[in-house]
Amino acid sequence: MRRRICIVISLLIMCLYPVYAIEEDNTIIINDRQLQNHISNIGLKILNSNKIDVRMIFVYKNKNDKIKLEPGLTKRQIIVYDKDIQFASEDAEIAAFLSREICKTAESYTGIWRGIVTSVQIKCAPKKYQIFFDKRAVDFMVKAGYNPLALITFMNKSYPQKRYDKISRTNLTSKRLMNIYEYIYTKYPYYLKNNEYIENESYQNFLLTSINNRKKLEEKIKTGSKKAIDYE
Amino acid sequence: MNKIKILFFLISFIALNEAVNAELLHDEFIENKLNNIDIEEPENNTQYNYESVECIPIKLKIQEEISTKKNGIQDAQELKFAVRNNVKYNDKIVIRQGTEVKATIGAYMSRGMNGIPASIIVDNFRIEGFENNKIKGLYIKRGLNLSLLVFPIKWALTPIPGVGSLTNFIIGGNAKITPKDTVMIYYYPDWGTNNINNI
Repeated sequence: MRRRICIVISLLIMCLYPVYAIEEDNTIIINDRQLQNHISNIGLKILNSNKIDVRMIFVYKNKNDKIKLEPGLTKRQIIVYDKDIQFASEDAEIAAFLSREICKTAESYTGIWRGIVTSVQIKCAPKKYQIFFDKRAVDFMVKAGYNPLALITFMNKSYPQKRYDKISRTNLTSKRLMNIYEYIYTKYPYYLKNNEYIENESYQNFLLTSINNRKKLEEKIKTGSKKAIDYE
Repeated sequence: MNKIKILFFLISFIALNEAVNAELLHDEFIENKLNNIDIEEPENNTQYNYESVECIPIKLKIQEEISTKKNGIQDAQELKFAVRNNVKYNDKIVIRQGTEVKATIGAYMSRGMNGIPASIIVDNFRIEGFENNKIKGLYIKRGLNLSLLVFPIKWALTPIPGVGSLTNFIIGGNAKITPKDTVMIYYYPDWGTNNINNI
């Protein structure tokens, strides 16, 4: 009798397991589709709001997806990997990530030879362009109705901090964050006056880690200097 | 006894609340600076309908020359343009020559190593009496691009150790916008404000 019960249970488990596996696969596919739609909608909203009249698409890429895709500068497709948006806790933060990528891709349409030279420049000297794209991303977010401080909160929790940037191809994240902060202060002070992110942990952490840099900005504002600050 | 309990509960709640608030950091200098100024919420463009293709081209010229040379420009700097010629729509003059048009420096990039030129982006064009969201205009001006020359030399010299890097010191040109430059913007009178966008 026991033997029979055991066989029946084992058979039941064997039958049910594939069903669960299929359901799990379907759930992943549905989630992926939903995420893909959501990312596309946010991206297209940024493009439309900013009247960006060049084509680009948004591709969400799951970590299990092994197909290699060409990046935005050559094929004008913005690839969003799991690791890119795993830190995003709201739409504004996804928009922050996408806005930066849109700037980069839109820039690849400008200049001679249909933007080939510009794309090479962005690839070869990314440091110069990083801060430029960060600032443009702020503009894009504002036009699309997102709070640009989300760019600070998103970058603060997702971009690591290097030791030096003098001989590096990229800027220190703290430097980029401070440039964004200064840009928002100069161009969109409304968002700092009515700060929705003041209780956000990532924003608080940015305030904590940028005390010295903010003092430099304070000095610049007091003296009315036009010189660009060399943030740390 | 109950009253004492309620009072104790209230006091501890207020104290806890204060403690939580005390932990919040504020950028006091910026906040104090901004508190005395009236700031309007920046205009966004989330209600659009780009169905219409009918547009009015408007030619502009800058009133004062600007350049990226020696900190000559700032982020968010206001610029003044003037309309070059009378602008007609349905055989009627809708914008007279010389009408002032305001714009903002979107962002600018100073010139850099490897021959990378400076660039200025001018956007947010505004004409009095016209809806801002119906104006399509983005003007990009770049300086002399030497990277076309620098990159091939750099790659050719790379096999000789240390020599390729010398080209890093070639700097690109400054960008400037002069009254001679013609800036084109477009006004789309029928670009509606249908509520298409509700994500």
